[in-house]
Amino acid sequence: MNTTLNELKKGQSAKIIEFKNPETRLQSARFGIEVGQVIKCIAKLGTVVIQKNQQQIAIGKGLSKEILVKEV
Amino acid sequence: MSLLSCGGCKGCSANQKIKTDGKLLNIALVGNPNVGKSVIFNALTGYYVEVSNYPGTTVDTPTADTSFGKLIDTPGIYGIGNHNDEEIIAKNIVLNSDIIVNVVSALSLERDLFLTLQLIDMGFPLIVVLNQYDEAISNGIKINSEILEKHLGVKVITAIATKNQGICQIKDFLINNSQITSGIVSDYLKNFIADENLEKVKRIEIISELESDFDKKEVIYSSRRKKINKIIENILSTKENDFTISGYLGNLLLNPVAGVITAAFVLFALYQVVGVMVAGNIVDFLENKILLKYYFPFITNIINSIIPSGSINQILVGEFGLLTMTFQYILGLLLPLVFSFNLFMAILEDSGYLPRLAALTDRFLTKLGLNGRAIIPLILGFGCITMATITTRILGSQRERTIATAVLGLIIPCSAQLGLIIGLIAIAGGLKAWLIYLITIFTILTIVGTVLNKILPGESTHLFIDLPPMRLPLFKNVINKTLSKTKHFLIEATPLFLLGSLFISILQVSGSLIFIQKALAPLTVNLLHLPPETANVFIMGLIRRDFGAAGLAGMAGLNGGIAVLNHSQIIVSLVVITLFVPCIASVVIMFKERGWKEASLIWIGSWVSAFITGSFLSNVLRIFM
Repeated sequence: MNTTLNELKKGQSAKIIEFKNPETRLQSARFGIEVGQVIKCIAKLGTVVIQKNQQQIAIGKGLSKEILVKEV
Repeated sequence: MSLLSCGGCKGCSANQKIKTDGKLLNIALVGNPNVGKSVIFNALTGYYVEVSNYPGTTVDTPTADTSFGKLIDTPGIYGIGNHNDEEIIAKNIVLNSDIIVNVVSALSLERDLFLTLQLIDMGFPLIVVLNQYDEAISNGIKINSEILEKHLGVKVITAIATKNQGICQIKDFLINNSQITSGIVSDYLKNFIADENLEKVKRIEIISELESDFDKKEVIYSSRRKKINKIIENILSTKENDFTISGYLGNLLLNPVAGVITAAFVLFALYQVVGVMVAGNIVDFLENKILLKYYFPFITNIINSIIPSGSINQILVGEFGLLTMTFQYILGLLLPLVFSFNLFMAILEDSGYLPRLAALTDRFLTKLGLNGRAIIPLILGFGCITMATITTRILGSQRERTIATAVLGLIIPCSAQLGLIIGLIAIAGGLKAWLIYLITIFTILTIVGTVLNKILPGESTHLFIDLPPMRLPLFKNVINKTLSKTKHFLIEATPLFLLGSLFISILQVSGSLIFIQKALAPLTVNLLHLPPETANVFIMGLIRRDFGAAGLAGMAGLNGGIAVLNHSQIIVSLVVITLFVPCIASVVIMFKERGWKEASLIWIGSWVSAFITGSFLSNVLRIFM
């Protein structure tokens, strides 16, 4: 089932389905994160911290609501 | 994989200069943040110069003439573009370079190759330095650099810069620069560029143009990502490594409870080092045992023997004298405070702690119309408001810069002032006084942020940052960074201090100062229920808030004098002097950064908020204390 990134619980992994905000999509591409990849939520502080391989990225709540993911 | 240590390789002994038309080659060191560029620059040149990822703290980009060309360091960036100040600075350097040394981290190759491919696409002759290889190995990552070379079409040198490994090889390649090539042009560009053999300048122009068009940029970015994924698949193997100290620490700091405890501990340590040890003991020693005892009589005697009295004498060695007060402030007060604060910050910065603190505080700061990134200028503000105001440039939108500057100007006390506040609160009744003071200041912070967030047009940006791995800071790097920042700060602040002192001396000599004191008196007596001479403190506070706080210290009997203020009066005046206008240097920077309209509003706003809060608190305390 598709949900948004901010709905993930700590420790859950999910596949990125869509970035609704195009700026975030471009910035994510630079960081090495894109649609189709599996990420893991490693911290929930209102702000979400996701990890892919060695890469950790902190994403504010407002942005995380605009990222569609599918739990895996 | 063999990593040669430096043992008489050509690069270290050779001394010939490669010239093109009599000019040194321009070599740019380019890479993502936290990949070890500064350490490599240092190892290649022997010079230390730091490029901070906080714009404004370093004004110029470090350059060194070496045997192989002119090496230029650049700020850490994730891509070449116009995304922020750092990118623009780096882009300008890159466009004028003959050769690029692209530093990538073996830990985050997937991210870092984006910039590498972008540079290769632009057609620059390039070598890639695959740095931090030791950290990658301890994380279970293995990279086949020979296959990476084949994919990219450029030389890849494996390095552990902190252990000086691979540096010689980089030097060798830069000296025998005929082996440095431009790399393989990506297939995805063929749809956009017909002629593959375009000359460099033309090529960069076309790519830059393509990447400023949003739709084309998306196609290129996404194809570039796909190519990187394919490369990574071929060269990188990971073995699940369950436990590393760095990973454990990094994740622990993201835990709300452990994170808050650590933050409290870090603040306490900062308070102990900067507030108590330096602001208290060292500054006291420098000012009272050295400057006031030896320097002041010495310089006053000299000036008095040349110009015994009059305005010039006052301006040079009077109460606000250029050779007395200014000198005392810069060397006796600021130098130790700024040095110790920068040392503390350098350790925090190099350890990877600050981005995690940003993630932790993001939620609260969002309520104030800021995001987690703003924690950096706010923390720097406890060191020096002037420096912190410049750092607000890292924030994503104008409204965030306005809010952060207002919070800095109105609320955050600087390290010099903090030391005095701590001493005065001890007099005013310890814990109870602390609580009243902190609750008042925190309430004002929340009100100012929330109100500005409501009334300012537009929207604030959200946090979107990359968290570098936690690392043990290198001693040499920390010291060098501290020294270079302290030097920059002194160079920037000294002229402003001289101007400020000159200004207040002229007010004093012309008699305007007394006039202002009298005009202010009703405000202090009627509104704040403080003795009339407190007006002097606020005049002093106009120049520097800690100068005002120093005046208060005298009135509270901190220096062994007669106390004219009771406990609640001390708390009220502390709150007022904290919220009062920032020092002249900060005001000048605020005008420069935010424009006269906004800066004047912040300046007037701090008068209003200081006196309204003080008046309110004074009435409340009269009832309860």
